[in-house]
Amino acid sequence: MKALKKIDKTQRFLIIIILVYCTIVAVRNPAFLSLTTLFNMVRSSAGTTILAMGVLVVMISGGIDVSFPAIAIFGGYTSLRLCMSLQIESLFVTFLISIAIGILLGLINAALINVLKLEPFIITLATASVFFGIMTILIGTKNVGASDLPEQFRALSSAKIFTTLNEHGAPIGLSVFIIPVVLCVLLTYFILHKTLIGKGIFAMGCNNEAAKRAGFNVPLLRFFIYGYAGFLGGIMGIIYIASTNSVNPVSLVGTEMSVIACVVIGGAKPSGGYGRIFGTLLGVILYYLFKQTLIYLGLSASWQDFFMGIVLLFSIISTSYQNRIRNRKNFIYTE
Amino acid sequence: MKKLKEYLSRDISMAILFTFFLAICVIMVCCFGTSMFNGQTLSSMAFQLSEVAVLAFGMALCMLQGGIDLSIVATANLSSLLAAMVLTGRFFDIEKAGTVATIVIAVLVAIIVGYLCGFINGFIISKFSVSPIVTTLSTMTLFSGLAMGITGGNSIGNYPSLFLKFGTSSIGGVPIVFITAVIIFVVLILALDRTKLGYEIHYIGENHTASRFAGIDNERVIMKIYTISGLMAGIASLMIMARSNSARCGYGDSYQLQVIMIAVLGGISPSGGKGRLYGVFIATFCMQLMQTAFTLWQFSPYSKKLIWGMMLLVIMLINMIQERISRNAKIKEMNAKRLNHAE
Repeated sequence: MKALKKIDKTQRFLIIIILVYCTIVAVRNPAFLSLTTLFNMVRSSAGTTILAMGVLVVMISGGIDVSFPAIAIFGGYTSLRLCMSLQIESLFVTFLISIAIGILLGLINAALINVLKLEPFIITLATASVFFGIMTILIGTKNVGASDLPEQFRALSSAKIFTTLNEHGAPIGLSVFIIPVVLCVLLTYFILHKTLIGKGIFAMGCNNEAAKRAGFNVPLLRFFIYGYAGFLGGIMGIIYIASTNSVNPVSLVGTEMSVIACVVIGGAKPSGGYGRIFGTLLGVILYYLFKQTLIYLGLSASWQDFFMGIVLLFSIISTSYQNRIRNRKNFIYTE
Repeated sequence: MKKLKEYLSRDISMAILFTFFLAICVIMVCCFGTSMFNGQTLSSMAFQLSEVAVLAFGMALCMLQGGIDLSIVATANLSSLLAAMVLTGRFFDIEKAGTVATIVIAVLVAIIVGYLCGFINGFIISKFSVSPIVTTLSTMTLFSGLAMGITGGNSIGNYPSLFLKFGTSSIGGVPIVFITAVIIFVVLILALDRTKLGYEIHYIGENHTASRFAGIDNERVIMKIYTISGLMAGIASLMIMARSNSARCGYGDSYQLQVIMIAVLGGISPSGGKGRLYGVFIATFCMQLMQTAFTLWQFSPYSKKLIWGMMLLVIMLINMIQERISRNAKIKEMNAKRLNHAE
């Protein structure tokens, strides 16, 4: 009962949408209700979920980050090429390189935002193309096919936690990707709700000046926030490469809007100060439902962004409008 | 000359822009010789910069008010696709309607679609109090998703040759698209400097609470600004179509960054209120000069993107330093005045 109370309006609304949509799809195509679909969705949404956690933290702090796909591909691709040329076969080192690069780039973002004191959106938009440009110049944009991938990537890609048989008797398994996803979600939950840093992040998003007066070191917090987003980007880079099984380094850039959309749909306030991990997860689920099941409804997958846009608009309008009415009662006028 | 000097010392960001423009010109002359600036290259540059300039005007207007319009490229793509569908006879038979009538309808469709998209943005931002970044981000997803859904990612090309004349022919060496851009520029600058709406935009950008207390209907003005921005996207979409003879969703993805960069380089402060539209026009020239140089140097699109991003950061850094210096000078001046009073 206590857990039910924690679910806010947006999340209830999302759950209803997801259930209704699933029912429609299941009626149209019973094949949808199977373990295969579920396992596929877990596997393909792993990277987005991890990135969404980073975006959520940034958004709660009142900022916005559009450079994370560039960071993720920078970390992942550099790590891949290093492993290929140095013959590194340890998965741990692979992750370590990628994460280190991710954190470094995230700290650069934070430093620029601290120094320039401008809209984080414009700064990260600039750094996104800078990071990506530097990567293409230093390392190149060569495609790496599935056969050239180092052993640890292939192992990660095909590893399963457990396997069962589906209704046709073919073996299906839950991908190992769920482990980093769960770890990242738990870590984010721990940071946001169980530490003083988390309190600082929420305070920053509600009111920057008040957070400063309350004794939080806002610039330092910003380093932590963007560094954490970079850290998650680094993890996602490796998972992305393993999940696609062949790398085109250009392909990930441009997906930032969909991740931000997931987080905003999940009820995080873009102005900062409010955001829920559960809502964000629901947002990611909805996104992948649209992505993978529109075909069942007889629509091509290219309509996915359109439906996503409609849900997105609806959710931002409903939350902002409630705010506006509340503000008007207190004679606070916003456009 | 003296007047210009006086003017530049008053407006430092304009001075930086002029220096930057001259520096690019000098570097280009050093690298490629004066043959670079013959009539042919200049006119081909004028062809290319028009569409970016029109998009940048829309973005600059939104930034002047303190907002941002990220959906501007998506709007342009959507309206160009719908207009292209009219032109290629997906909605009705062109033969029956006649070429001229079809072109008129297509132009109207492009402009109306741009207008509507802009209006949707403005309506959501002003009536529901959603922040401009989030609104235009979601409408960007919506518009490009609609364009993607309609076409499935295919491009639509092969328009009537009469329509293509708008994008390819020129009057006395000056391309028609460039003339259109200049006309729009003049109209906008007159509107910003001479009309009530222009003043209201500046006021709201400077301080929206104060402007509300001054009796300005903020919501109406914001709605107008985003509608104008959508209109600009509609016009730019016609230029893009006529020039490239095709429409495709995802065209001009790099424009997003470029257009924001042009506006910031042109001296428009991202936090609103400050900036001149002619700065934006000069910044567009700078951009196009650099673009031409990159093409001659055969840079890859990624290194181009790197340079755009770097430039955006450097410009913001320069603006910040300059602002800090001028603020310190002001504080010093005020302190000196206060001391004089005390004595």
